[in-house]
Amino acid sequence: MSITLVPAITEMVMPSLSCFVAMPFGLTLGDEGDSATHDAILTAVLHEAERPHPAGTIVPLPFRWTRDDLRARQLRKEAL
Amino acid sequence: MASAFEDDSRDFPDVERAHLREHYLPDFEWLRYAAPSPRNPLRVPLAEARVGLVDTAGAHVTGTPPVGASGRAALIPLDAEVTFTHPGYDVERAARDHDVVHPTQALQRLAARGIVGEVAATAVSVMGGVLIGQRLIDRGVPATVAAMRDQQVDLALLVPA
Repeated sequence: MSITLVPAITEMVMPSLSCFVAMPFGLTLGDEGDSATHDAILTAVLHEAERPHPAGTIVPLPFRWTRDDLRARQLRKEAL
Repeated sequence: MASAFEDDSRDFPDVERAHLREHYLPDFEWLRYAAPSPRNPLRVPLAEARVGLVDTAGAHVTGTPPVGASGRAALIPLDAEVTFTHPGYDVERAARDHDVVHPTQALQRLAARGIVGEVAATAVSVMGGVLIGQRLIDRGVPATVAAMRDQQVDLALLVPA
């Protein structure tokens, strides 16, 4: 079971099962101190492992970074 | 792949490839596989499962050398003091809150709530910015698999940084 921040890369590697969260690099499970989001993402991801998804499935989860444009800047190589 | 919302990272592989070729490795290319790894269905309910953590955060026990671009894996007890060494993200955030990329405390909370059975006592961390993928395959993967098997993990969770 894996999490992915960039589905297009994961599609090349083809792990058995992955969940996509649109979070920044370095903040995969959410912002510092946001334990509620950390727990919610992990819970959602782990529950997908119980489902009979075909091998290679990437499940989009409803978690995305909305605090600022950090992820967008990272994807343009404008931020670390 | 299906997408519940727009995948904003669709162009990133090309952006990152160009960046890596310009700055680090002129012939960098992504590893590609022709078929997915097979699924191994959970043999126990999630609430009874032992979950093993694997991440690419570049975590290592404080005072030990970082694994760097060697492709090696660091074995980290859940209660160890951890340092993050990784060039690809701001490690200061992880230093302040490990759970953002090395979610040992979060997983233990889930175990306490009964969402998972327990968390394997030793986590595995590699440094995800290994440009020569074969190094991870040759060094990191066998060590990771051994660590998960030795702990009789029911479910290994890979968290990217």
